[in-house]
Amino acid sequence: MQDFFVAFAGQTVQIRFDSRRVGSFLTLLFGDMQSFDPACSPASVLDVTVGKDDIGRLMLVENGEFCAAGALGVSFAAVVFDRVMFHLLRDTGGGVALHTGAVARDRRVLLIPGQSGAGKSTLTAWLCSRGFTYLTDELVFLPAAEPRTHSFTRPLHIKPGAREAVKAMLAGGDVFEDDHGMIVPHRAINPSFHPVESPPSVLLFPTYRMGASLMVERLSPARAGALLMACDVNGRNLADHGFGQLMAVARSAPAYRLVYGGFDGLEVTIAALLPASLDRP
Amino acid sequence: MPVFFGHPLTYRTYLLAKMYQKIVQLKPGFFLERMDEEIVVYHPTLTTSLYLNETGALVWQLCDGERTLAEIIELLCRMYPESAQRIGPEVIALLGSFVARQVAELR
Repeated sequence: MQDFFVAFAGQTVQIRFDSRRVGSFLTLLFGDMQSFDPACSPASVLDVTVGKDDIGRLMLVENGEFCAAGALGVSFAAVVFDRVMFHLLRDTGGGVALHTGAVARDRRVLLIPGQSGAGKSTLTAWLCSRGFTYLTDELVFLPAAEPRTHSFTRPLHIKPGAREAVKAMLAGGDVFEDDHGMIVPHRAINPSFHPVESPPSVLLFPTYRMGASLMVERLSPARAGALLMACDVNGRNLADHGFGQLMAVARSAPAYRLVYGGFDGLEVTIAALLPASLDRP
Repeated sequence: MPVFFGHPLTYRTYLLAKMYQKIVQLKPGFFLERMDEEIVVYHPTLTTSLYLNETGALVWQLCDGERTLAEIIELLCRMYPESAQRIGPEVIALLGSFVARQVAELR
């Protein structure tokens, strides 16, 4: 068995694997978060092994307990993402983990918070295709002790409905796709990658609706605060569920609600929302 | 058509009218943040967050565990007589949403 360590928010998960194929798969999923710290003490140990059946399904075992089995594909990747994030955040205090996309420009961070299906990944991909630096399409950690954004920099997980739109954004490189969607390395959209950890500068709450006209609305800090609380992932680990910290974020960063059904007009609209220093190419 | 605080007395409002003497009791243990005239309420047990605009924030403050629904409406009607026609239905709808989201109960 070989080891692959994933580090995020001060926690590490160890993934043991038994084949080169799985090793490449893990590098695709977690290459930007791989830890090589020999002294780390993993919060959990996951095993991803090739099963003994004829079709070579993969088995996912968590701390010795069977979790899932499936072919090497987008669905299995989604399960591995989900379980790794769960174990990384299971005991994480000291800050708030938020369900949000994030991109950066000019070293300033634009958060794209929302529930699954809100259109975070597609909007994040589109922003990256327009020169923003990719940070994550899923999760950030905001430490309480310092104004910083720590991003879970996984590849983009694109659902089947957004596949064609995102394919049109690709600048080159391979993607991993099947009937369940696509796993897109962010460098395939924007090869330039310089991780940014500045605190959030702008909050953009997306809603994708097929065929919808572009609509943008400035949100009051209170509305933004309530929406951020709905994206709080690790509240149970924090004495106030992260309420105080997220209210401070809502006060400090301008917030907008964006309804979109395509990308026409989006470039001008987004440019108008961003502070001047965030909007420089 | 008979009316109840400016709202046509449908069967639903009739049922609400029966309850207007009840006291509005907020569930204890919530966190509250005031931002300008608006507030955010978060209840950690229910993991429910609530945004309340200026009007909603005022109603929330009046839910002190002693006032009845009718007293809250009457107080607001005295404060904003020009809006008296719509205050009743709006407060009932708002408190209905509090109850539906389990952050308040009528007792």
